Amino acid sequence: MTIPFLSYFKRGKGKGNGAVKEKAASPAKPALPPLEKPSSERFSKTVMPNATRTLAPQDPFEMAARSTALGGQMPAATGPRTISLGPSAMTMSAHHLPPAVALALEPTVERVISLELIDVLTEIPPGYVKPTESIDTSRRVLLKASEVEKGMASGKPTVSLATVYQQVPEIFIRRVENADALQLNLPFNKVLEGFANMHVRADQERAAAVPQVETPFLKVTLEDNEKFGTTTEPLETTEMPPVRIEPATAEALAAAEPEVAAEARLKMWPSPSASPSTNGKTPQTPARIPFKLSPNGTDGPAPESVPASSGPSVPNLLPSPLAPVAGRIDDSSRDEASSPKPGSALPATTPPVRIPFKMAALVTDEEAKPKQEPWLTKESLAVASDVAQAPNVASTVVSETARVAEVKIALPLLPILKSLPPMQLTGDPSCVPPDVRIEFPFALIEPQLASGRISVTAKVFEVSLSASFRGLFQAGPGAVDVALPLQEVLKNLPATSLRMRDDQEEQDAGQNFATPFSAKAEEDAKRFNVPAAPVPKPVAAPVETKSADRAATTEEKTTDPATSPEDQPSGRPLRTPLQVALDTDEKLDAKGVVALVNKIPGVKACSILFGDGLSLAGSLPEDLETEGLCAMAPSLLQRVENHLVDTKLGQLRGMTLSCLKGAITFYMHENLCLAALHADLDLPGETREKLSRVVHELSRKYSHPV
Amino acid sequence: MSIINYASREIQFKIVYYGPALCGKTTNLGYIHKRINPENRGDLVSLATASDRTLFFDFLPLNAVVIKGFVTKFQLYTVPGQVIYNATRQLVLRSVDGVIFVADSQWEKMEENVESFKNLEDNLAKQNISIDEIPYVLQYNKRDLENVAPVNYLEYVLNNRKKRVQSFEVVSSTGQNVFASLNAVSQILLHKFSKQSDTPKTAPTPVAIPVEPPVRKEGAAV
Repeated sequence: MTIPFLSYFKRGKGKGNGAVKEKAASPAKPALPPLEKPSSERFSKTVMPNATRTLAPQDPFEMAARSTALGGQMPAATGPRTISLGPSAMTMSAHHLPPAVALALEPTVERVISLELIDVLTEIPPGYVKPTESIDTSRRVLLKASEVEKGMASGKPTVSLATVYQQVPEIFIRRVENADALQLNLPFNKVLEGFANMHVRADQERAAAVPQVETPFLKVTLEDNEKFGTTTEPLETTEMPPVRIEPATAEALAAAEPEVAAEARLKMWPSPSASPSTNGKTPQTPARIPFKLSPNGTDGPAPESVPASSGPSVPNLLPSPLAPVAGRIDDSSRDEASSPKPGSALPATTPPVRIPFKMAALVTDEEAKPKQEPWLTKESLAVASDVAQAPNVASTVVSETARVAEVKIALPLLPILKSLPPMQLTGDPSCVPPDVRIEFPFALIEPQLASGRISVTAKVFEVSLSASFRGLFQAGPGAVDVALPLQEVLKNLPATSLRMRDDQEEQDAGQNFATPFSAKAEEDAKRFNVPAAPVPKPVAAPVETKSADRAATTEEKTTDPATSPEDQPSGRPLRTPLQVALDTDEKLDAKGVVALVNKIPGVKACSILFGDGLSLAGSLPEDLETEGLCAMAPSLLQRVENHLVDTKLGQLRGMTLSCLKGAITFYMHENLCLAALHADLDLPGETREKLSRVVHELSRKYSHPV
Repeated sequence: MSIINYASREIQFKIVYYGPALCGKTTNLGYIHKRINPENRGDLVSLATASDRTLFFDFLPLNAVVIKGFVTKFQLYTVPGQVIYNATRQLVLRSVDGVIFVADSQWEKMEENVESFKNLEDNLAKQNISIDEIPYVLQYNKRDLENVAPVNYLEYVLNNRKKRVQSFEVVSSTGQNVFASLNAVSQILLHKFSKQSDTPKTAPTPVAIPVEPPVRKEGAAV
């Protein structure tokens, strides 16, 4: 019986048995060079056939512990673990990997803490584990931090027996099911120490710095900082390891040793528990990364957040008269504020670069008393008053801060109340005099300016209402925000509030190109007597460099109509189309239109009629007795227009009745008719054009009143 | 991106009128349709609801010869302004070349303007297009009404970006500056197209050149 391919099998088997002998006997054959694939055809992971990667069964907890919790205390390796990595892999960072690969390689680490086995053993009920003498009680077990930390708040951290069983099953006499709900108490102090020994991952990246802007909470934050001796700097949990930069030479590479990792050390700065004296050496303040600051008081580039739907478009570059000025605070007090207090954990090194705060202008003592600002909590007010009374160093600064004035803008109360939903009203808002105003802090208004809608919470509105009108409004639970009339807000804004950013680049217009629409645009510009040019960039009012007295500023801004944004120049006042058609700036009514039409060359008198024949205004001589004809004219024009559809004469522009004693022309558009009595036999073409336009605009004004 | 058909020697530009509901986008197109010579335009296709609101989009094709040897077709679209039609807006925005953002100047429409502009940004971003890359101009419409916000506030709200674009005070019902804004965005488009065609390519590309404005014919629609 012949079995196909049997000879191949035998040959292969024999080759396998005598492979070693043959290898020793025969001279070494030159190894074939590996086939080089183009990089595009390669997989991202290349497996080398000669590399060995032997992994012992790994416990996920153990894996996790090696990377985080134990720091230098690595547990003894339980078996050979060889991972060969190419040099490219060593140098390649996650930044250079494709996002999907980087995500896949991202270490998914469970937070764990480790305790000595003895700490757990003492809590295990008898009958579960072997005798203690047979167990190495000094070994450590790993516990999920998420499980243990649940009981930390009550001071009684626990762990389930099943978790311990998963870690050290060999010490147990019998099997413990996962569903076993038995909880073991853990020593609080040791668990706490375990949590304290955690440190952040080494490959963390610093989040983008957010510049400090003036918020309603800034004042309270500053006060709290003074009270607690803290700063607004972000918490640093791990010092950056020192970086040694050397030229990469062959000798340096050969002699290279792994850099000693920076000593993992918790730095709960500025908490006193993290005093540098615990290590016995003075820490070096790490070089701080300079933040890029926004144009809010700096010259940095502005963020792209326009339109203002995504927040305020661009912070004002200018020191708004309402904006606090940093220089107002005494240097002495500022020095005191910035210097570390005795006993605090702040290192006595050069203070890092601080984000400049906006500080409000100073006001008188009476005004310095904390007012019932909507954003001030009772606690913060209490803190402010307490600190102001305390005769310590910080009190000076706090009192200065407490005297920070909040500039307000005043709005008429009546329109706000009228726009409220009925459920928020408890009385008739018409009883409010029109001159009564309600004041809101500008700090609440300014961030909303660019959003196109300005509102305050019902609570803020209620607080801002004067006591006499507070009864008209009920905030209630779940009350909706109170919208403020945008028009009134803008009238009362400082002129510089709507300042455009200075670093704007103009659009590449390409005005050398004539388009099919160029001619029409020019025609329209002539017809409407307006330039076809785009709107010029608004120019802000000159800036007052010195912040004036608060009261004076507020009064000036709220009462001086010359600085209201509506009055700022945006070109000349825009004419209505009817004013354009009649080339006048007068405010026009029907009689005014009649008077102006009569002045058009070739027109003796005119009359404006509705489609049903009713006269709106007119100056036709009574002796001609044209009322009846004029009343019929609209229907006649409509009939004629219906018949014109069948012709190729085009759209009907007017109908002229030429008579022996005179001539009259009727123009009609939609529901409005204009009868013009000729001064001569015929009307000039320009006059006809003008009258046609006038009747168009009149129909818009009177047929569809806005 | 503009479509160049070398076989039929056509270049197509797609311009979209974008803005909040009832801001006057369809009115813009209606005025353009009325004023353009019928020989150079197609029909205005408008899919509207019973209440005359644009349901899907308006479409107006315009033909012209502004580039030597090529027929330039401007396709003007509008989008439905209502918030619920965002999918339609995304569809209409596909392959857009230029945008005319029509803002309603009335005080009570400011928030809608801002939301609509943000929506435009988002929808362009979904096509991997930044609003700063695409030619667009701003129209402040309804300037003839009395309850309108001042232009400097509209500029502050809508045109306070790093790149300042052209903006126009428009009364679309009468046609004031309607063509000026369309002309502006067309110029930017042609300018951009001309700059792109300056780059050496294997296929010959047309060069935009200024031409004499078309003479208005007697009998054209007023």
